[in-house]
Amino acid sequence: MRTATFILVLSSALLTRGATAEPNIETLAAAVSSIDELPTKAQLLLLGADAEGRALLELANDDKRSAYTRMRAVSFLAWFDSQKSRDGLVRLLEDERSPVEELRIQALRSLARLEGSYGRARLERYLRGPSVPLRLAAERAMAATAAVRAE
Amino acid sequence: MKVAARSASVLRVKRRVHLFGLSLLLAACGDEVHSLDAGTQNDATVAPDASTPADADTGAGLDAQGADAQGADVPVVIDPGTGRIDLGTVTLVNGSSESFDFELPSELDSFMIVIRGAEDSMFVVRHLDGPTGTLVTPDIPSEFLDVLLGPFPSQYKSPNRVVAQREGISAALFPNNPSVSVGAGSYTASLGGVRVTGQQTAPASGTVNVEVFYKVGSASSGRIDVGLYFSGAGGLSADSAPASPLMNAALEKLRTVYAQIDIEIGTVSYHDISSSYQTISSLSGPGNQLNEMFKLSQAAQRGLHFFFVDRIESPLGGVIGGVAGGLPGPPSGQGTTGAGVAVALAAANGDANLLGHVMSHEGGHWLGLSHTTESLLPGIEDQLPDTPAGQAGTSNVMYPDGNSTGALLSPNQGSVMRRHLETVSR
Repeated sequence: MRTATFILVLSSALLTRGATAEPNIETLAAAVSSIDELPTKAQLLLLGADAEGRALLELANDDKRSAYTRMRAVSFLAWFDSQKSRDGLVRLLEDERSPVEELRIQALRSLARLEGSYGRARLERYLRGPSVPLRLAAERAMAATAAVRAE
Repeated sequence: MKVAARSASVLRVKRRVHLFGLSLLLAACGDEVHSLDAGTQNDATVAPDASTPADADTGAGLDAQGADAQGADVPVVIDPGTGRIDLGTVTLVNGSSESFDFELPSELDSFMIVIRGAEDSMFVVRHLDGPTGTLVTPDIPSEFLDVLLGPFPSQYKSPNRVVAQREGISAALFPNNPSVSVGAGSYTASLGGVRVTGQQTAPASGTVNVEVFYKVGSASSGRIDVGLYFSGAGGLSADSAPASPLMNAALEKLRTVYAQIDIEIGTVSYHDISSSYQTISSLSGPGNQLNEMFKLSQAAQRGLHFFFVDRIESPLGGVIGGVAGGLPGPPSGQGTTGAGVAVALAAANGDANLLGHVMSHEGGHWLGLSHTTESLLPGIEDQLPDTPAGQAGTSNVMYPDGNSTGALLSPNQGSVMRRHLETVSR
């Protein structure tokens, strides 16, 4: 509800300014590629993301895009809970041949956020895995999940 | 509350030992959670090239010790052409302070107001009137989009944009665009503040300390020292980084980008920090990891401090390539929550050109530059007429795209960066 209200307000404001770009994959890619801006879910939806996370997954899987754009797209999938995005994140996480390990790290983090305590078994598996960065990411995700439960 | 500031009519030039800086360093090291391990602390310094004048300033900083010794409100000048006025304590009640006055000297080029307060709050210059007119106003009517401009939208849209960026310390640079000017004489200001609680803010109450740093004369070239801090991210340390092709190429890019607006990179120093900062996972709120890391900046060293981490994650999801400790960062703010710039090595993915770009971009923020255009806020641009608008800005360093490695800075951007008090005039 808060997101919907926010999108309404934001859309009105942008239309007032006459500055809206036609949302498409490239406007979404531009927003996702920002160096230091953290968009809200509402902003991503306005700029071309869809509720199921399909457009973000498309960016995440496009190996013609930069590693930076892809890892940011993966990190924002944490806000788009659908079977499609969960499946896509699992594939990215389990791609041991990925040349960009950060994609796997961010996929693990986003999945942990979407799955909450239901993803515990997966995190425990990565805690025992061979990749040190993934082990550390699993530790952080485990701690974050525990913190959310405590709240 | 009224803070009456007095000014001395004669500028005195002094060079002082960094006792104040040392005390900040000790304070930072006293933090049990985030202090450097004695066994891992490892600092090294690389002097600028041999063409640098032997008497170039490598440490004579903006020294608060002098002001304290002489009493508040009296200008203290350490470097020729710069000075500091300690305005003392100002009280905020329900989010704002009463007005206070201060005087600035003749031949004034620029000045910065620095506000230091509780680390759970963000502060801003709420209004500022001077001899040349209104620089900051709280009275610009609200629009829908203002919700996205941060807690102080009217100040953001003021003739001289000011932004609250980090908790605990805030700075503002005047002038920061060519449509406003500053001059000698009397200024009247008030402050604003919000307390950050989770994702919410509330009006702040309490006391803050206020200083004014100023430059006189006009400098067409400057020099800034650089501190590099390594958490072990990317396998880099203070020992290994000076020989790292990635780091050297990124530094060369930084040198090249800043050279075009006549800012020379001076002394480069290398420091280790705790490996607990390899992943930054809290960006706001009391005791957040980013603030604690910035506080590790070496207080005895002025300049621009870069902290290299693996990744910078928002606890709510999402990652960023870099973040600045202020827009602008506080001069003489070493050891504080706004003292540096964080750069994510994983985001650069081994690309030295991109790493140097992110360093130049975040350093640009710290020295006072806004994005040429906000990619998430269509229609919001910087206040500089000589930077390209909208998508045309991709060639500019301050266009916020992690893929464009635009390397251009405009003359107006150069003026802003040279006016920052950590840029020493040459």
